[in-house]
Amino acid sequence: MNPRFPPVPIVAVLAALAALGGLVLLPVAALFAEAAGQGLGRALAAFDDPDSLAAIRLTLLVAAISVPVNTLGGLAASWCIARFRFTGRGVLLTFIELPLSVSPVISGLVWVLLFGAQGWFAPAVDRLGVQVIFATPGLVLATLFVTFPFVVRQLVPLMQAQGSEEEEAALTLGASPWRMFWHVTLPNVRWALLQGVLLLNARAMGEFGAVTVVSGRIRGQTLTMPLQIEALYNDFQAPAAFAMAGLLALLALVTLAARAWLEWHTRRGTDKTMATA
Amino acid sequence: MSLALHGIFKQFGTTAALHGVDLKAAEGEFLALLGPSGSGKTTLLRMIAGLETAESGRVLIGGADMAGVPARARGVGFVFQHYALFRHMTVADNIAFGLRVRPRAQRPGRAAIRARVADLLGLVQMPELGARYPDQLSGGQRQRVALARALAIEPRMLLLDEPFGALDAAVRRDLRRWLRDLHNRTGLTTVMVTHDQAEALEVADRVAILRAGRVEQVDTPAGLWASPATAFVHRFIGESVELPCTVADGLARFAVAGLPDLPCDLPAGPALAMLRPHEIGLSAGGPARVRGVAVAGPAVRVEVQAGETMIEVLLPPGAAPPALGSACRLDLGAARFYPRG
Repeated sequence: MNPRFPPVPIVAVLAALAALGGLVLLPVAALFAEAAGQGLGRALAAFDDPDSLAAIRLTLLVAAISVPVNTLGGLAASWCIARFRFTGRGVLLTFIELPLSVSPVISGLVWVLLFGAQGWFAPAVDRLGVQVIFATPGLVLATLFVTFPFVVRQLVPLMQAQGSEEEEAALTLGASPWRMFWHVTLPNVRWALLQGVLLLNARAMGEFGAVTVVSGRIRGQTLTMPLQIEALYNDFQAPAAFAMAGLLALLALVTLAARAWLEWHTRRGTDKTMATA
Repeated sequence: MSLALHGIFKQFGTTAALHGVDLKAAEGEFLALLGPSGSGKTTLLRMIAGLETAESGRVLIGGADMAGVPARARGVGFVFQHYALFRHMTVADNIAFGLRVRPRAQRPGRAAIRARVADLLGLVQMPELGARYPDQLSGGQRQRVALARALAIEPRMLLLDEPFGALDAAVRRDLRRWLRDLHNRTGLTTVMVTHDQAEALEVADRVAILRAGRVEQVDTPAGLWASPATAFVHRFIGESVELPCTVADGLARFAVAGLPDLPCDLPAGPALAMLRPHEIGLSAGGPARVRGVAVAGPAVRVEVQAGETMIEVLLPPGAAPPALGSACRLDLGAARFYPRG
């Protein structure tokens, strides 16, 4: 045991374990039990429904667009914030956190205000013949908005702690900015970036509030997995709802496991540093 | 390559960091930039490397104006204060980096790069450590890897930012000697930033002393010792005894009672007499009193009270220490005078 800390009070450990068990593990276990309790056949049958398949496809599509866009955008934003001092930097940092602090309903509503029938850009969108609200573009925009902070939050503190000397060293050694980025900047933050991407992906697939507002709930067209689960549940198709929920939860658990593995990996790296420093 | 700086001016926000600095280093010279923190010495070094831009003024390397030339095209080796080794690369990969990022036409082959890395590892006296990662090295080893990495690109000039700042005293002394030796062998023009006067005076051919963004004096270590141009330089490069006085009619009269007047060629007005403790002569009998005697190594350190003022005197090795409380006389004939206020 670490001598710097007093022995952990056993009561606190028990309380923490009880809270974790009762509030997290029990509901998740119930979900899987319920999904499995239907019998595997019936659960799988839920995925024969074309609307459910469409929801899975749509969720994967939204994630496939949001994850790369916000990874690149987040990387660029983090680098600017960590490396440069410019007017409005503090404001920018605050605004990047906005999607996390504002209710998801509002994150959806802002897009309706911009692109809805009476929205600011409604005429322009109409002229182009594109439908944004109650269609896939709206879902993508809402998801992009909600998931933007994840990569930035992972990278900015790390980049600030690492400083820019290694990048400067690369430049003085003759590297072009592009090579500097690939050989120095990116490798130095790769684990944190991966963690951010996993969180971003989990949220992109699981977002409910913001996409509800822009979805319009057209079955087979604008329902993502979380929305499809709710629709099924409201239709008293509990078995199908649980089967779908089980799949979504499984995706989340895989993400969580990957993240835990990454954290373990990263910590091992820093331990090695501590030991030899 | 030679280096010349002309009228370098730099502002950070509203505070000026450098006020028109002029400085030269001849081909093959070892120049130290010495000054307290905030004197602008690191900013100046980063400007030579192209990591910082001046508001006005010119940087010339080998006679060519560096305006608009980015850091990567300047061909200068820069060693950072905290080494800035690439943490995810081995020592060998760190050293090879500058060769590997060259455009294809100028890039040496794999075997040539490997041979060059081996040479450099030998040069920095750690031939068997190429496969280690930076976090598995000691501070002194990291410093030497940083040097090897900077030398790998065959730079036209070597720039060192507080190269020994983060090391303990013994390692520092060794590395200092090794660096000077390396400079003698490679003949590379070198500019080193430091706040440690002993380091600058020991290693450099010439030392530029900076204060608040201005060059106070540039001279050889011997020249700086013999004739500091300002009271600041006198104070900065070594232990100083300061005695306020007033100059009138070619004579300096001390404010402290019991000190004889001295001839002085400063214009009339308040002045400061400055000496090194070992330049003060001490003889028995007189108005001053011996208040403290300490044998510090080979020399004897004596504290003398004149009037209300305590004055430090360092006796030459072998001199007999005076008795505590005995009467004595101070010889301040070696004093240098600087205008005051």
